[in-house]
Amino acid sequence: MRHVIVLPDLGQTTTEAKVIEWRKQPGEKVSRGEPLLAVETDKVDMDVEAFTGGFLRQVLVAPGSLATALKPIAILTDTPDELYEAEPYEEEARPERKEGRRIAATPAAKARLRALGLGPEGLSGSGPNGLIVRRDIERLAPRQESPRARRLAGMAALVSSSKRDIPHFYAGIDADMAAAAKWRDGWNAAHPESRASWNDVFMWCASRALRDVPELNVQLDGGPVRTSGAADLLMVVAGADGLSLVEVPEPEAAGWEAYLAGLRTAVQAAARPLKTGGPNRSPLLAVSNLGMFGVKEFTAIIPPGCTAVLAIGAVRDAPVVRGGRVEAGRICTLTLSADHRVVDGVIAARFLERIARQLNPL
Amino acid sequence: MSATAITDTMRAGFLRQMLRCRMFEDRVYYLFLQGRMPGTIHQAQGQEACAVGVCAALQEGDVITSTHRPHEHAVARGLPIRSLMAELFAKSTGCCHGKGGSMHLGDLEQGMLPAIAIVGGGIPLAAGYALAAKYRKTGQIVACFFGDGATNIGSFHEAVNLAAVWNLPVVFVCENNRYGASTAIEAVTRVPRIAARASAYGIPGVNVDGMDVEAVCQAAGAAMAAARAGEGPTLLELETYRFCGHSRSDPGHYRSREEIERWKARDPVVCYQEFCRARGVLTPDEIEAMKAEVEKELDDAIAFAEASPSPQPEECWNDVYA
Repeated sequence: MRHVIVLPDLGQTTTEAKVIEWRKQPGEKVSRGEPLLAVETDKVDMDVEAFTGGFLRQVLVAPGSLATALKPIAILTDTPDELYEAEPYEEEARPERKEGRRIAATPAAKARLRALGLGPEGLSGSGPNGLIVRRDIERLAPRQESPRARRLAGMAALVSSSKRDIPHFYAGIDADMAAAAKWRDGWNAAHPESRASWNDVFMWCASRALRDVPELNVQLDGGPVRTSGAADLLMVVAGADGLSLVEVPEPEAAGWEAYLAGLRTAVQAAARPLKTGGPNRSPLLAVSNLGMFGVKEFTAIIPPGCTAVLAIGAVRDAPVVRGGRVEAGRICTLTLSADHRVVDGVIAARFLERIARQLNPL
Repeated sequence: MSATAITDTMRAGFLRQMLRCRMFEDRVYYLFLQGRMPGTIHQAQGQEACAVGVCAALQEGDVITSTHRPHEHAVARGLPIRSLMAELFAKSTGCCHGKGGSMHLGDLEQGMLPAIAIVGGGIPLAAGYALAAKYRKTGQIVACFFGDGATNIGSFHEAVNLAAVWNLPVVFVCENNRYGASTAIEAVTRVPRIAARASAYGIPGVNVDGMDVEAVCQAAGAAMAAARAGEGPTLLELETYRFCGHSRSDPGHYRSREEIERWKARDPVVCYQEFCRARGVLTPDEIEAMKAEVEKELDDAIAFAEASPSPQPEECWNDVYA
């Protein structure tokens, strides 16, 4: 009789565990209650024992690979050589199995098979004369965790902890963009080789506003409140594998032109994945911009290690009232999410007022 | 205190009950490994002599209270295995209609208050139940199970003290398995014997080998006789060991292999089985037949539980009093 071994639901915080080692090899006898394999979860390393005795026939998850709770990880049978229905490793096509033919394998393929706890029986190879080569084994092996999946899992954990632990509050302002638009059009016309995007303008102004309102540039860092001396920013960047954060040193310190050039290279080179905290002097204000998609406004989640995040919407045509008359104008809605443990509404309001003023000087 | 005479018939009963406890726990563990058993579990393999020895000394109508680790208490108290297994499967045929689960096993009609999973939470309830029994002169006594970890909880002090002052018919049974979850007892108290804490309340404290079912039964019997005679509570310390981790996801790495092996050499079920065989209480064949019978009882209970219906949404408010 065939018994499917599953990864038990080890519970608590995860439904996945990494296989460290198989304590039994295919063909070996296993007694009920005997350790079959060792796994590692985010909390603990432990042995998984066999719920029934038998012979280990098929191993479905190689050491180093992730197994999912309640999903098959091995097949046992009551007797050592009874025929059994193998469990598929994954949906993808695998090398065809041919019974009863001895096939040679390269040393690398053999080593990989050993590492996976598999035997070469019935495998057919894609090398010369059906030689089993390493890539045949790799196609057999369970898929390794993709960088994207890892990043998504990381983001899930981070935004959850951020929303749970940081008491967010939100404040928004409609900034009059007419003056900034006029200035930017002028700059871009004069400097076609070094055009400024709206994002460049917003980052510049956000940093200057942060310089003007240092009360926002603080952080609750376990113990006493930490104050950052520089008006550095953290820019949220979307990449193929999910979101990244780019550190942007205080733009004004570099000067406008050097800042523009520096930001382009920083986005490409210095993108780091979203992760908990940062080095101690990591910027405390993040900027996230969805304006290029036409989003009118949104609220953002404060990245761990930051105190606030500024969410920028689209620069849009809208009716504005000037001197009691409705005119066609350009505005942009800016929304600040801030950590109420260290920042209050007045500080948030002053920051928003300052950035709006930066964009629309009197 | 006078010792109860232990007959061979009682011995066969002890072994049978300990086998039922151990095999119940083992089967539950295998069901968990198979992914068939939902929810968390705290198991008690190794502590069978405590549950069985104490429950064997109880009389009809007496009541026990239990902890987050209640499976063996419930089996030893005689709750039907089907109703326990169904409760673990969260089925409506369970002893709490599938709404309590592993940590809340109990059935007052069978002499077990539904277990309280909060550490030390059952101790004031035991004192309260004993107060009711005394007030109503029902003649019942309460056996209150808790672990070593609970003895550093405020409710332990308050409830034991009050039970002592009011001479309540309750026996406080501390199963000292040496670890409160992963914390060694030495790390949380300077008192080398938990039984010694009884002196703080002016009641007897008795230290017992919790791996010896007969010693447990004798000590529990004496304490219960005193409680029934109006002499008030006793604190029993049963020195025992759980062979498994604290819960399903605890491999118990905080204990050395040598320590575990040392205690496993004193396995209360294996040793007592050997004792019964050597003494001629039961032949090896009779022991095997006993085990086969328990396996059948468990097979039946699992099939019953898996075939039982889940509680329906409209049952949500049943048995809710506040």
